[in-house]
Amino acid sequence: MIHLSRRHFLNNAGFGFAGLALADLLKNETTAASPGPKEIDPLSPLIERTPEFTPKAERVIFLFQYGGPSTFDLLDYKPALQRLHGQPVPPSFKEHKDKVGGVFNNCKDDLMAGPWEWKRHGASGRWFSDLLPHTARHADDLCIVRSMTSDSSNHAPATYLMNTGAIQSGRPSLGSWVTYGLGSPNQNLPGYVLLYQVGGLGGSANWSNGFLPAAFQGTKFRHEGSPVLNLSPPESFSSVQRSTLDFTQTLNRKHASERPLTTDLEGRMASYELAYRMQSEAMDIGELSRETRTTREAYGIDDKNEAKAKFGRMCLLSRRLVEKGVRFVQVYNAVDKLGWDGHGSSHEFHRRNAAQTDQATAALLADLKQRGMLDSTLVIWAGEFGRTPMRQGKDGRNHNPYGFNVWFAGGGVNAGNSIGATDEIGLRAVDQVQTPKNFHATILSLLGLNPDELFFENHGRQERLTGVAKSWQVIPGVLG
Amino acid sequence: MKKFPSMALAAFIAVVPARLLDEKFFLLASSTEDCDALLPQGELSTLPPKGENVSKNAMSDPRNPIRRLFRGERLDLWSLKAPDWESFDKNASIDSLVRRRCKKAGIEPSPEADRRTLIRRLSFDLIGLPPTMKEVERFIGEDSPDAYENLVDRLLASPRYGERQARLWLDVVRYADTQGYERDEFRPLMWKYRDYVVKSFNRDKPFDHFVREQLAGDELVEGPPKNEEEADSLIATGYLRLGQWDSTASIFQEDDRLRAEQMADLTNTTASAFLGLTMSCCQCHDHKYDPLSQADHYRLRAFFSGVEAEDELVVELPEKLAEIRRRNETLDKRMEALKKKESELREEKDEEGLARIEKEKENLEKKRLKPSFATGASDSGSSTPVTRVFYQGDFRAPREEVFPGFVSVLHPGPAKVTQPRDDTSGRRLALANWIASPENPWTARVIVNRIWQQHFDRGLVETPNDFGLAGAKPTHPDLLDWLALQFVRDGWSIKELHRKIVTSATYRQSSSIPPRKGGSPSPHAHPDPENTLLWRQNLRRLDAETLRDSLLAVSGLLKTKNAGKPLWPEVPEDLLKAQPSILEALEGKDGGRMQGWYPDPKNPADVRSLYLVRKRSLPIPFLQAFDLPGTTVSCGRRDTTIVAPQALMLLNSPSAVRYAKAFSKRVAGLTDDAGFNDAANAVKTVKTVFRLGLQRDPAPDESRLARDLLARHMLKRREKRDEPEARRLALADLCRAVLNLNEFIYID
Repeated sequence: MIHLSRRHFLNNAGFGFAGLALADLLKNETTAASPGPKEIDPLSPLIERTPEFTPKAERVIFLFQYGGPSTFDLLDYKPALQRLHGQPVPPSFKEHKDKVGGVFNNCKDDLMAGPWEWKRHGASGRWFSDLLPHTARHADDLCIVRSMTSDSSNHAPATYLMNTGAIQSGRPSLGSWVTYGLGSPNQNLPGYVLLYQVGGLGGSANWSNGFLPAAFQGTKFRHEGSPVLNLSPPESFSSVQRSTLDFTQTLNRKHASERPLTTDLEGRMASYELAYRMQSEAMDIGELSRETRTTREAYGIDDKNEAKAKFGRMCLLSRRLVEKGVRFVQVYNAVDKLGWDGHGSSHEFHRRNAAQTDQATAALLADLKQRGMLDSTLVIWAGEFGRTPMRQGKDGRNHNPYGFNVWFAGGGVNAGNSIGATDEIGLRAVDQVQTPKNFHATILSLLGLNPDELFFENHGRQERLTGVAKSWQVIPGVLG
Repeated sequence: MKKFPSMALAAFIAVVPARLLDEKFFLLASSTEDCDALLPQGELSTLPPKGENVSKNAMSDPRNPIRRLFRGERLDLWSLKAPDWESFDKNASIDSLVRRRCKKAGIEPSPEADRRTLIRRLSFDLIGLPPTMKEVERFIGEDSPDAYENLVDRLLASPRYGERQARLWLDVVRYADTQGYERDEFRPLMWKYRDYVVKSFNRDKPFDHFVREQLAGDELVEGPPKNEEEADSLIATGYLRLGQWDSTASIFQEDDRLRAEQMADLTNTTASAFLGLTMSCCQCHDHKYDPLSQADHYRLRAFFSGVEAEDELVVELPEKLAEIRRRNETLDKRMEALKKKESELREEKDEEGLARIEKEKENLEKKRLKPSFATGASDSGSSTPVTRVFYQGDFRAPREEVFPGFVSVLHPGPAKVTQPRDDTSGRRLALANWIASPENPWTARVIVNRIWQQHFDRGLVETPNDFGLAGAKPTHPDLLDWLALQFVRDGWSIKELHRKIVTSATYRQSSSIPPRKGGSPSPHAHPDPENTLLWRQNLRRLDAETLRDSLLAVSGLLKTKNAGKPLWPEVPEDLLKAQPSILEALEGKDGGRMQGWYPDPKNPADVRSLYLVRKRSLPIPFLQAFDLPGTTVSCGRRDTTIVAPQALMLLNSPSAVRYAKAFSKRVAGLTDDAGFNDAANAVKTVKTVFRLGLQRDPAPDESRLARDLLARHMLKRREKRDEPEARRLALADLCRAVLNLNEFIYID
């Protein structure tokens, strides 16, 4: 059981996204917490914590597909949709379309299939469209949930929901909950790192620590230049950084010695030392040039398609980060403000986004596998909702929160399995309908965390990622 | 289904949670009907007899259904019982109430802090800025026995005082300048509310009136404002507009969701901000701890159901308005003439002439004056939208209708709502009057506790937004009550309250730990290491804004700004990309909705942080690093975490380096031009750095270390640079080191 009240935490005024008590700094190593009930040590909030159950996955890379990808254009083959292309929605579906109203009212009544070629791949014989030739090679590595739903058909609320469990902003994000629950293996790096070229709609609330301590907030790493903002001083100050810091720390020690009973002062001194050591460690991680040519090419980080190269860099960086012991990495796919959001020209958007992301996504899976890390690294691919099989505008598709696909790979998931289904035209989930709560509960469970026991006392309430206790279900068939 | 046309009855039923609601009691009643038209039978005879003053006796009245509902236990909640003068003797004071407890525990209070500590503490607490060295020396040298009181008066009279107080209040009401969600558009006039708050604190507006204006300023004022006070009352209704707003919801037909969210948000924020009640906890079910039913949430919500958004609320005063009207009427006449001419020219097919006229018309239109507007609210009047309980909080599952009612454990009946005039329902005014009433057991205690927290880092109730059973119990219940009673007696004066607190010996104590009598000074042996009993002051860290403001003040960059539109500081391009809708704006594709970020490169935003824009989807990175709270829900107390990114921000960020450089320039300007080229000059330079940065002289060992740093860093820089540049950089190093000191960021 991991819980701690906000009050308690603040009383002890903790520090450090990789905070360390002075003693730990000296030892320069992490200590595994003993099993059983535990609390967060405010002086070293990221110290590794043992989960309740034996975890299947130890770390997470979440490739967030912002904009709402049309999954039946990518990997959820709908022969009926192909057949009915250009025809009005059949009456049985029309009834549902009209009943739902809302976002569906903005669509035409006729159905539209994508102009893709579909083929079966892998031993599982899964269908992929020709938009994802690289991912298709990992057909047997994916565990696909084909019946995901969301509560909002609008980007910001739906993105908040997938990332924080609520449609309003302000709650802790998945990565924050995970690092709160488990800490992180490397105390010199943040436990929760964020990579984006362009973030998701709704902005930083998508990686906020909400009411959890700041130690659990997402830290942005950059895939070009200095990996973390403000990691080092301007050039004219860098040669005297240590000496400047020594002066500050000497005076700080004197100041603190005159003020016993105030752990904050020591904590702040330690945070400066940590910041100093982070410089070298984070700099190292950012050195993508150290990778072999084969690896760099596999991820396409020097591709002529600049957007593709950037996404490749983020995927490669995320592997380097988890390798160094970062617990949770979240990558946003988008390289522009639109992502997969093809209202007016869905096909063009999907061609473009698939071309940008497919190769590196596959390279990440292959790379992790080759390094023996895929089994313990959970890779997640999910957007905030799917899209309508009905046409919008010329060849666009509108948002559709009533049924879409997400997939998991590695991290002990049931590779090759598919769970649930949308109807024949992909309008809505009809079999084993899943919710974002279930999605989150499944991820937590894979990490060995009990979603009901992972809570934080805030304003007198036990707050959880998955909301009210027992209102979730682990998606059956995902855990291998 | 039988209808009982009794509003008292309906309200009684409404406090009963859905699970106890039998269909036969499912009542629909009109709020205008007579309460006593029908007396209930059977189960319903729990109604108090006619004429009984429910509010006085509701707590103890066994017929109050909420008593049965919560089985009495929860009714022991301390904050339900109003403070009472009778429990205090005439000589009670902050010090007597605090020290009595210390004495009982055998703990000696701490001696008074030295004067430098006192003036720094007071300045930060009251105006949010450090004192200048000159002010410190003046205070230290002042012989008058009233020196301290005079200082308090000076600070309370400073215009900077209102800015500091406003910052704290804006946390509580989750102020932001933008809408939030997908587009997160700029609200071009929200800052008028911020200025209203600054002004209210500076003028020491009685807090009860401050409450009324924010909740119901529009209901207090009929027609366009007749004077400045009325204009302020209207601007105050900006409070009702501060929540998030998803402007794209209607595109996806999610208006109902948005409306439900907005109503819940307003209800929860009002309960937290003014009453210290966690109404958000009973949106889906009865409260888990406190004697609040699910219906209580919706009864409170019903007060707000008539709120109508006004983005162009006229707040112009009559003379100016008349002048504008006159000018515009003249314009109208000229326009008329032009239009006449235009039609003539059209008949003549004089294209050139028409083009000329078109131009003239445009120019004329530009001259049209607009009155001053504010973002605020009005009311739907008599046709207030119905409020219903949402089953499990789900807006798609509306159930019983409810009517406005105060917290039912005290007031089981419906609220008495009088419609002041046709165009407004009077609901919010009724709520405001109840909240601002001295009999309300929460309001005064809650605000008094907030102010106390400001001065001791911890409130007498440690959870300022939760005075319920899950919140902290008051450490000094009697002191809290005494302060609340005094506060109301002093006409709800916030300044008077500050004065009472900061002139107490308890406040003026040293924060360091006095050696214990005959024992070891070991802190671990102290019976109250957490300082719950207030035997010393608490050491605290500056909050984000105060830190930035202090850096600006010390480095000499701080520009005075007293009001007006917020400024946009530069932020790294990377961070602008965190939000796609900002990109849309940068490309000029946001249709003028102001989704972007608008710094003025020629004019750095070196003003107090209060005047910087608060964009929901992109908090200013420097401030965010130091625990800036979110803008989604009311924040009663900020976190103070200590994380490595703070060190990186304060050491390495372009802003921090800029502050250090400006600081060093200021030092160089005040010392000999030659800088620290000889020993005497170096001593003087170091002294100036300490005096400006920390408002004290360096100790000899500190001075030696600092001079050593200057010398070494200059040598190092000389490898690549000429001497003056090396000298400048070395001085900037020292300044940078000082700005990063714990002493700079912690107040004793």
